[in-house]
Amino acid sequence: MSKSHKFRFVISGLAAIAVAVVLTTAVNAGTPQPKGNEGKGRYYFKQTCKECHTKGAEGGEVTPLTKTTAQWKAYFLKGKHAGGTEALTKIMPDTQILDVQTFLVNHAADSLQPETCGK
Amino acid sequence: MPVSSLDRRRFIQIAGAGAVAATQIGCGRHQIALGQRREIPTTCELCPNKCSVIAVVEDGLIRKLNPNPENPKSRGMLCARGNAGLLQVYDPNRLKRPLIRAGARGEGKWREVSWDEAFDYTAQRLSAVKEKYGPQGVLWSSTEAFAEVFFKNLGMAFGSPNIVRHPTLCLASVNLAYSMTFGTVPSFDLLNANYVIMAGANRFEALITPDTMDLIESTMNRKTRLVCLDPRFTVTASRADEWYPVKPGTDMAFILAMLHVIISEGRHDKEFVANYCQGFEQLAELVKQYTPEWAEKETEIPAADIVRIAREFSDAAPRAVFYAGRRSSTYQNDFQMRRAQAILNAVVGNWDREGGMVPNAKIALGEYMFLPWDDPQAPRVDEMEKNFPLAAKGDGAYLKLRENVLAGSPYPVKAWMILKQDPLNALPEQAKTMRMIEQMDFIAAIDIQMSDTTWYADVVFPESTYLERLDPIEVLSGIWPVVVLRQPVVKPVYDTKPCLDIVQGLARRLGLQQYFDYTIEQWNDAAVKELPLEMPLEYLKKHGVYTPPGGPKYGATLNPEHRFVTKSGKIELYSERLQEAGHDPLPVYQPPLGPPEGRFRLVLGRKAYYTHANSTSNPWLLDFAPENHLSINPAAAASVGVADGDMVEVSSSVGAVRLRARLTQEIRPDCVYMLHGFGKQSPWLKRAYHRGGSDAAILETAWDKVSGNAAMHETFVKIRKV
Amino acid sequence: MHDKRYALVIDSRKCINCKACVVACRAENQVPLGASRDWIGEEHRGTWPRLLAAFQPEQCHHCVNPSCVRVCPTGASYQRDDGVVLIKEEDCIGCRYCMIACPYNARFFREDKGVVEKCTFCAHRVDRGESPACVETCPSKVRVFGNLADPAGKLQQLLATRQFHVMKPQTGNDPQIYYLL
Repeated sequence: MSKSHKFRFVISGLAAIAVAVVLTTAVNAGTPQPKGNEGKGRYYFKQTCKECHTKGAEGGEVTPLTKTTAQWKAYFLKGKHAGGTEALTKIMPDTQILDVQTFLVNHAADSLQPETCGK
Repeated sequence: MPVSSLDRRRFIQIAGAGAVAATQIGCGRHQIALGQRREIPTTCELCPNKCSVIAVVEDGLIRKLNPNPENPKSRGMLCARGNAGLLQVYDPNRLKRPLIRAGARGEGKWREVSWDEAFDYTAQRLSAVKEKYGPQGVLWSSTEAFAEVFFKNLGMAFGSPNIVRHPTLCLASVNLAYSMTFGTVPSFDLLNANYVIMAGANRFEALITPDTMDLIESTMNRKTRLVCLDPRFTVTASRADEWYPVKPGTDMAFILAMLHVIISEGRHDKEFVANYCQGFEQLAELVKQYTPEWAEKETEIPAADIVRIAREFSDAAPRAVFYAGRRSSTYQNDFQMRRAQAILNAVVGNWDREGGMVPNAKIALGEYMFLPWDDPQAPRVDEMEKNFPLAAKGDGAYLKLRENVLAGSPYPVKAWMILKQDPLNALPEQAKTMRMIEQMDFIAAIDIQMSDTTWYADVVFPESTYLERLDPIEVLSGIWPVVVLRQPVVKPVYDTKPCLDIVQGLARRLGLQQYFDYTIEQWNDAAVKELPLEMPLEYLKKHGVYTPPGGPKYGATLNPEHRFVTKSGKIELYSERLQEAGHDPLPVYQPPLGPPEGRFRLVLGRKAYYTHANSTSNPWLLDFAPENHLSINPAAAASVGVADGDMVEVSSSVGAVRLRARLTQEIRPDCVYMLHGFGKQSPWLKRAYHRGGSDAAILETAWDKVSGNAAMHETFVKIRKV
Repeated sequence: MHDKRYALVIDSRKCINCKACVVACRAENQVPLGASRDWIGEEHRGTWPRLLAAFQPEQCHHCVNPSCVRVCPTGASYQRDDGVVLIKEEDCIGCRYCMIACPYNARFFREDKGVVEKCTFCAHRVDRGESPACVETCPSKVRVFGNLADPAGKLQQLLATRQFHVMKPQTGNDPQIYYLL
């Protein structure tokens, strides 16, 4: 297991604890967000994940809104792809996984993403 | 002859000069056949509303801009400034080639330089700042433009967290309030509404857009009832069925009292509230105290009228909307006031219904996938996380940012890159913005004209005007969104470049070219790839606009399974997120401060023939109001010994301006009003130079606590005859 | 009666004084600053807070009996069969009788050319099948332009269903701008 892979697990582990806190106290403010690069995550998500995860394609459509923050965090904690049949690391190098996780968590179905005027 | 006049002979001369330049730049490859008349569809840029226009080009000169009826939103409409847009191209005082400052800042001595020299010099200065202060030492600020994305990306690729856009001088409080409630910012179906309440927004006078057309259609042809709250008797007020000169800063009391009436009389949409909203019980409890009688004392609107309006509004629902308002925020509790509006709209169940408040439909444009860059190492200088944790971080908070830059805290910011923005006039408290300019080691501006801020730049990059360039393809969002193309209708008349070329020129010299390794054509190809058209780009070049078939659709989110993009997945009348961030989870009223004895509240507004501070130098537009005035009620004027036409000094705690008083019955006696965009200091804005006064010089710094949006109505001024 | 009689029906109530028509006309007809072929009349009445504001778009009324044409000594001012009143620039001697004769103050003198000019109903556009620039650009569609001689046309429909008035009917000019009430 590579160094960065371990690092990913540490981060996800922390997130899991935080999720537990959310469930018990319904307070979300203290939940640590994954610290990857959101812009890169978006890029890798579009380049790799969207290959199969578009409407009508093999994997079915997936967008950040497909899951809630907690669900995305749980998904990455498990680190399994294709219905739990293979490791996520088979799909993309683990250096990229944290970035994708950051992107998906930050834009999850219950995330706060205030819109802006113009663009 | 007045300086502003541009007679036909001169116009032809100017236009003639353009033709010569155009053929020269074309190097013979784009020879213009005489007698040739072409009609080229493109997209207006005189305001951010993306109306479709058809440029009539004769012998290589733009003769006329006509509306393009193919756009179902702007339909056959082009407003005054849209019509005057062609003068941007033929303005003899526009920026024509790159400039480097030759004298002291603001002295107005410039050296015309090659693009290479301007790029090299700028890159060298930016690198020096980066070396000394880190990439966070460079601030990138811009206002709305199709190509703004390139400029913003350059700032981010450079490694600066300090990208500041216009929303906190605009609608950030509205957008955040609706986002916090519905998870998105909806549109208002004014065309099909039967009852519209408009508070502050002046849609018949300040800004002419498709919303204006829809409101005219519904109020004038379909007898939709329009209730207007405004301290001034605006054109909108004059066309409303009812107008209330509300006491400034008390709109929220009116809204809360409406909620009181609607909820206490059980007039809310109970089924909708039960299925889609959360926090209704807490809301009902909160508004018990906000009786119409209480609100009458706050707002000066009779309690009986509040009760009647609340009843009529809920009776008309779901075809009833409290319009979100299109204007910058006014008070330091603006976010909470907008939340109150959002909640009022929610409880009458107008969500996603015809004539109600409708989430914007999406047209998914494809994206050109460029290489992503590393995240910035430093936090933002405006400390968004700490100050405005709920706000859109990528936009920044302009006024707080200026405070921190001036304080050098948490770190120094010593260079400023500016796109299309005029911070000296756009931000309150001009003297502070000037201090910010003074403390910069380097400033470069990209613009089409020498704005007041550009006047103080060290390097000026002349951008091609909107009629001379190809821009990224954009979506005009809304209930029925459309795709619009802005394409050049003439070759650039002078030695100017579009934004992407300027960004790439800088990127190459900053070693960032790998992030901008594409052309505008590739960008646009990627954008339209997914559109259901055979030759999407060709279609857009021919039509200027693509309208998806089918027309407006309603009700897609009206299904109990639908998850709103909020924490609870429901419409949040009560917001836990706000509570966690230390704000009121429900809108709690706080009365505004009244003007101290002998002072007046300065209220702002717009005329639809001027866009912000940037089109007063257009002669066809300046003709309508060659200078701005201080509008004051005769009773108030008498109390300070001012007569109509007197030159007065208007002063606040931060500055003073001089302009002429105009006595008018059409304003509350406790308020004064002046039009934005005057008092220009850049001599290159020849026609607007030193005419009237700039509101930015006297507005005090204040912002909304939740969104960081500038609060523009918090200034009290003294009036003195001079 | 001719088969074509161009006229305007104006619903002033819908006018919001946005000036789009004024700029569109200036651009279309290269009208110099300092004069306008069309303009918005404004009326503000009342005392705070009981107030009224009204706006009325105005221009040449293309009268049936145009007094400007009658007084023109050279025949420069003339009327087409479709009712449009025009000025032949090359025949205009700049005597300005027509400016005095016009009850609507719709004409002005061009110092640079030494001739009088005014609204042409954008005859050059109309002859191409387009509508006048002021009509086309208006955000609230205050002006309806069309053929009054067409009994089924939109002008006759409007005039049949709405009350209207014309400005200064007592002049006998028979003006052809109909203002809806």
